[in-house]
Amino acid sequence: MTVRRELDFNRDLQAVGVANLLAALVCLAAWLGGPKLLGAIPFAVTGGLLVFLRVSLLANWLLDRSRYLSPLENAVLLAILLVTMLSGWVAALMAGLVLALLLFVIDYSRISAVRSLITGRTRRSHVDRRPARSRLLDRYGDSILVICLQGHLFCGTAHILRRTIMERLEVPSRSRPHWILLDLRLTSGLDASAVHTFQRLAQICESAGIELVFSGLSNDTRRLLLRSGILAGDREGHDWFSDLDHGLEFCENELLPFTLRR
Amino acid sequence: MSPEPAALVEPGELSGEAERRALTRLLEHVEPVRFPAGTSIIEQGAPPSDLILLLSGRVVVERRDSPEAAPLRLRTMDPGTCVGEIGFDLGTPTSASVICEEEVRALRLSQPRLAALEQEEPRAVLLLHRLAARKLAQRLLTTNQLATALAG
Repeated sequence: MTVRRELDFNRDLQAVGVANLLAALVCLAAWLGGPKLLGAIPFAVTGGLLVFLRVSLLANWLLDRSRYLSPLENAVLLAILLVTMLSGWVAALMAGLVLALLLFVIDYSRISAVRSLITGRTRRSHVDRRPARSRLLDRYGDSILVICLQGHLFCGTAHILRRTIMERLEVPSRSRPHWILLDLRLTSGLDASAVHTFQRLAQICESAGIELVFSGLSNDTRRLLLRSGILAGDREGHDWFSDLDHGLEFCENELLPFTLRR
Repeated sequence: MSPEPAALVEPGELSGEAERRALTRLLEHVEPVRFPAGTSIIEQGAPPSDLILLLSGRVVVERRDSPEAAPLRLRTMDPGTCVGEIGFDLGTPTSASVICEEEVRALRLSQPRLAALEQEEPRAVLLLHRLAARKLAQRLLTTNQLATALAG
């Protein structure tokens, strides 16, 4: 990057080999020449070399790179410097690792787990229904809330999901959804805190008379939800649905008899 | 009109006595058929098929990208709709398979029969195309809604 050209492994390894050879020759000369030879090197040269190395490292990491690092990343660099000065480089390495991990978790949790949030009025299943029934779904489709999730679900992202659903439940009862369909097709997995969030959501939905429906589950996620009691059973088409379309069809089929009675 | 053919039209969809007569004529020229549950009415990639108007029962339209691939459900169709209209109108091999989820009662119209009907009962053919266009427009509307929802 510094010389603005592609990395050439052959050329670079040859250069490293030559540099190692030169270093070996210097070491050999120092060994053969004894302390006299080292003593011949002025103190200002070795001292200046050490100061130059440290100043260049500081300038490179704290000044040059600060222009394209975020304030939090710069703070991590300063923290590493501080820990190095106070406790040595091993402690600084560990501190840097932990802080970088924390930074990653904070950044990742800012990516919303909710890819899209729509209702059964705008997103319909692929079922061709008679126009009269379609009109009923147009009218009452908002009682089906479809939430498509994405990414890895953990404490940070699951919290956003819970808040999103709670906002929908804190409206007058007439506008509340009666079915919440969670599609997990684009998720890569979930951890214990996300499972806990789902358990809490399932309890809230049950007490509010809302049916929580899952679709697009991977085998691992399905087993996890089953073990944690979020899924009542393992029957496809009843306890869970292979894809969003079948889940939506189920919700519509449940909704239509209610609308026909109104 | 018996209750089953009435599934083809919505109440108020026929504009007058002339259209009701046209529907009666149309029904006289189509062949009543019955398919048991699990039957494949149309096979993907087969030559253009007949137009099938569903009176009762439910069918699933599914497509495979390759013979080994799992089928992808494109649509499920309730009575009152038609299948096979894409191959029927474009004259191309069928783009998807249509499988009966339950026993299906339907009306079948072949291309030669339609050609004859165009000469004998032009008003009936006009009505058929109007009903088919309406179904296609409804599907387009649903697809547009889906595209909007996905884009948003």
